Amino acid sequence: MKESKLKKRVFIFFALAKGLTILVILLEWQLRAFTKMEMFGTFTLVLPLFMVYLTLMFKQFVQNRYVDTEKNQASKELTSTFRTTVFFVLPIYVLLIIAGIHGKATHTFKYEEMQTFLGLVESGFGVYVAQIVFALFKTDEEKEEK
Amino acid sequence: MAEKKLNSILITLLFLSLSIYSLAQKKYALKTLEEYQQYNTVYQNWLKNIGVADILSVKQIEIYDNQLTLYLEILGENQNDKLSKWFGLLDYYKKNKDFPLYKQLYKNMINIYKVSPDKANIQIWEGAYFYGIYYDDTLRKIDYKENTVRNIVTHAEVELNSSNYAVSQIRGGTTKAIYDRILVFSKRYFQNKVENFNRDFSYESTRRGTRPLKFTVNNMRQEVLYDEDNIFICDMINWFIDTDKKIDCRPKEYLAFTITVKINEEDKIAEIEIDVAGKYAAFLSNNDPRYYNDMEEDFSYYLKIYTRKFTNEIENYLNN
Repeated sequence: MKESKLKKRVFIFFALAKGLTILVILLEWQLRAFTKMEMFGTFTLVLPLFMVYLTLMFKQFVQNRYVDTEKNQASKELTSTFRTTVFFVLPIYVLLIIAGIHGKATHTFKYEEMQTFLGLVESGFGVYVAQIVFALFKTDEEKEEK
Repeated sequence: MAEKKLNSILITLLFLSLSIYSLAQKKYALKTLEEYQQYNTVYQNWLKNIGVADILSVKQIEIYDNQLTLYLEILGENQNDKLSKWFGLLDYYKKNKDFPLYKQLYKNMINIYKVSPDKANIQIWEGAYFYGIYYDDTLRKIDYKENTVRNIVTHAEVELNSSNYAVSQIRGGTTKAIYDRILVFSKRYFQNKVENFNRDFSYESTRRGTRPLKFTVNNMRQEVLYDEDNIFICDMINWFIDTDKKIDCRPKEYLAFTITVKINEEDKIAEIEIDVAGKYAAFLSNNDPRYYNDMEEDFSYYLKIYTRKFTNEIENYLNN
């Protein structure tokens, strides 16, 4: 699989995952698993990092708005190990976040425990997600600037 | 030779670790409840010495799940009086003392009862108000939790001239008669509103009318939160599955009632105070109300209306 193709899929996946997470939080609030304050608190926990990733992806999507077959053809072929890692890490990251939110509804977690759990997922698992997203979506110039 | 030396070192190490283990066990194992009970008076005296004994008093101690819990009681005429005294005390310590009250209460519990910090906690309950002091093992510090739920309190009056409440010769007889009637009314009132009455309705004895009537009702739907109907997605699923067993997504409701009856013999009336704490949870949750959300936060208006309505119904029932 070429890098450009994987980028597209990761972008679509993240956009859908973000939408799903927002829906799950709203649904849990509608089911009265969250109080209003808890709902807003959960949004502020989950959304910022998601937004950072999506902004980065969207930026490149806008930058690559021209049909540039030469550039697309020059897109590098990815190893199967990398592909598998991406398709393994990203869904687990999103599933863990949704499981954490749902855990509050079923009383597996108290609200404070859910916050800790989401914090752990974001800081622990998020490192790998960040590596993948930055590797795929940061331009060479941006990487050099760092 | 070397093997012999190694063996003796290993045996010494084994003995050492065993003795350290047994020492540790001795240090951290809890004694029996009877042994701890003798310290209740010492703790009460200490409360007296620091000048808070007119507000706080030792209620009881309990050992559960390898934890020693000291229950303290707030003293006062009624719940409002008790809570205002308690908050006043907390405020006084905050403004005038360097060492917070919760830390003092906890440190002295450990010293007096001679118990390891990770095995001790203090709990203060007043209706639905809760104040707990414990040792946070992760942060390695004494901490407290406070549940500042404000209950809804209403009042009703019952005329004692009615034949139902002919003032009894036995002391407390009238009070008990009123408590009994309230309980009968409440049982009938909630009979068909819960999933399983025997499981979901429970009450505490009033000890011949000397203690307030306390009862709780769990697993109700649309009792207080009458607007909370099945949400659109659940209706869709029910329509799609189309079987007899429908999904009920309405939140579960839990109500805790504390009803106090005071007889005013001069005016021949009984003053009734009805205190209601309400909680709710999603339909997916387990039935343990400790994990439910308090209605006070998002639904206090609904609880106020409900309590008023319930009080009126009790008043009408008792006056007829």
